[in-house]
Amino acid sequence: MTINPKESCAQLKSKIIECTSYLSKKNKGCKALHYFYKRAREFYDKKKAWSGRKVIGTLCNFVPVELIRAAGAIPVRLCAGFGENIDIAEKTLPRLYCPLVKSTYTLLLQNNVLFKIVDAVISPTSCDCKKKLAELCALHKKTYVLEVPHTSITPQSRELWLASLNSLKTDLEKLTGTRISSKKLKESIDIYNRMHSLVHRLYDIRKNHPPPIWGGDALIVTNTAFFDDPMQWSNAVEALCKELENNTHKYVCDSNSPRIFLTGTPVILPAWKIVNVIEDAGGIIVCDDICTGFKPFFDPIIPTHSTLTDMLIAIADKYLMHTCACFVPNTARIERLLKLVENFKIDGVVYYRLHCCHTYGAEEWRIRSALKAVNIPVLSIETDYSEGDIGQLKTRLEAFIEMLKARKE
Amino acid sequence: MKIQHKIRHIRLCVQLVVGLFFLNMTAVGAYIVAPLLPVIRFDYPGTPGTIIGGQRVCDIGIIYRALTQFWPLAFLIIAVAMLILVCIIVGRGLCGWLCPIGLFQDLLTKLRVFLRINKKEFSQSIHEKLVLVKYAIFVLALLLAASIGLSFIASQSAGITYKSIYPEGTTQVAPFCTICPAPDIYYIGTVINTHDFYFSDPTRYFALTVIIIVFAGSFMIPRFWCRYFCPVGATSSFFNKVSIISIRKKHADCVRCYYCTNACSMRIRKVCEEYEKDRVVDMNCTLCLECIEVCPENALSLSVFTKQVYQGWKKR
Repeated sequence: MTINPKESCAQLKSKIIECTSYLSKKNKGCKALHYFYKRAREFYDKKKAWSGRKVIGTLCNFVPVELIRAAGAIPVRLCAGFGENIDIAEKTLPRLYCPLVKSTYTLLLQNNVLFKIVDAVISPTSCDCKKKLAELCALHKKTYVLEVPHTSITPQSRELWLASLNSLKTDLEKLTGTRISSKKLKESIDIYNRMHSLVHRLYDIRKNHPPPIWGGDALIVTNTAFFDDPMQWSNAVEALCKELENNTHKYVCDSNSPRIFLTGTPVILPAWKIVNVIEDAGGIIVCDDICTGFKPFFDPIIPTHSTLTDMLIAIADKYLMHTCACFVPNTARIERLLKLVENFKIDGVVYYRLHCCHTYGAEEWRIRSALKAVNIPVLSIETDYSEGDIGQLKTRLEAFIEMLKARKE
Repeated sequence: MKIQHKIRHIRLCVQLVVGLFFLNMTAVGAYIVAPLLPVIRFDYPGTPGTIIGGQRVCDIGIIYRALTQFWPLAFLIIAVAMLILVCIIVGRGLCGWLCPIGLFQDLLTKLRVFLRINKKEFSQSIHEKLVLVKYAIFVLALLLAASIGLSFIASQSAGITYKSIYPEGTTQVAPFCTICPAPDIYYIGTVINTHDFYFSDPTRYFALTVIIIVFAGSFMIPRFWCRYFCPVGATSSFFNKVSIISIRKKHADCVRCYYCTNACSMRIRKVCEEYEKDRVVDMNCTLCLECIEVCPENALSLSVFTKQVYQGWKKR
């Protein structure tokens, strides 16, 4: 029953190649995008640039990557979107559990390359499923649990979060043996702020109608940011933005394609099912607020002064501004979503949620009623990483997009 | 995205040029403009002095001197009227833009940041209690002035006046002035040589301790003196609720990022946590506009009455 690491790695790789080649087939001559397809495929191959440095796996958006990079380590996102062999994880975890966590746990049990390369794992206590993953992960890898508060706006929660960042900082310093100085932290913040502004630039291009880039391609760009070298990645995105800004007339779709906003749970390589179904049905994803899309790049870090404390406070504030569904209250998500829907001239919203994601499931009604007030239709999709329901999804999305087209006219 | 601290630089220039140089070191500023701004007047030995009594003091000092009949009572009325007038326009804005003691503390903070030394802050509960200390000092100074003043009025029938006790040209007469670090900070370097009584007077040692505490405090904590101790700030802070110039907030744009609170040298949480009212009212706000400058969504603005004047610049 158990599959050896090599085999599982090959399966994962073939899946990613399948996903990226499908996207590159649809790509209409945008050269800069090929860097990202290549990156996505190469992720599991070579780690030359990483030699000699500690690699730290992160399990959520809440891990402050700026701190990790300032400590001289390399942050790598471990969350997986791989639906095969999930039954290995189901021996330990309940069947009704987050597919993302089950998939990640499968890779952990198989000792996949992903987990082989990391020296330590940082797991924030964000949602229920990830909390328990941290416990299981600690049996196999050195795991740091990062305490995330349940609310983001009370003074107590802010103090708690700052304290947990401070303790993470000491842990990282112990692990890597380098002290996080204010200079290093400033450099690392600047690197990430550049990434933020570039993603904003990319999304600004997508405000045009029709946009020159597929939503799937844009999500590949943001997905590769989680394991690529930030400098190379930033340069590639800059090149991409320049190419797109020069070729705005190269549309990827018709002008009557409805503009779709993707919200809800993360779309992680290679689980590109929902994106492909939407864009094959005639819609175009122009914006999103998902964990692997716009959300981690939304807020920049603005330290008031370049002292260590000020920068840590600024980092803490940035992460508390994530509109994650694990926060109570999470009205910021609705406010931000409405603003984005207005700015990007959205025609319809697809609420994508993975099976058993209760926090996002519970927020659906609020989002739906908030969007109803501004007369935007919402389609809710509940699915997992298996491909069994692809036909059903196609039918539903085609109908939804037909309806949006009819509304547009 | 990079924040350009334009306002921070403009403010520093205003503090240096207008507050320090024009108001306090030139004859025009010292004779004509400074008497109109009771909040920021301090004794400065290098200048010929103002029309009032040959010295510049804060409003607490004026009240004291008027009550003890060192100065005529009319000055008290003029000073208080001017104070109210200025404070109704800018609230506590003079603390942020003109006060030389504020400048001194800002420069100490700049030095700390340059040396990359982390700031130290009190915990929130201690901070909230310490903020009230300045009101206690304010009340205490007033009570002291009133009691001494009343005793002088009572002894007037015996022919005793203030001038008959203290020699002409005495500067450190008010009890609070002897321990207040403001005049000393203001003429650092000159005081040790020129004032013979400096080390002979035992109260000066107490004053010296206060100065050292304020020095160390404002090096580690931004605006340490203004936040917790300054009685002049306490006086003008009452006008923050009604001042014509104020900071206003568009609630639709606010994303509760707390960047404004982090930037605030007075550690005001209200600017982020104000959820209902348009107008951001906090007794401690010195209108330094750092919050407007860092606001990533341009939700905060400087307003005259309800009209927005300055909104920061587009960051994205």
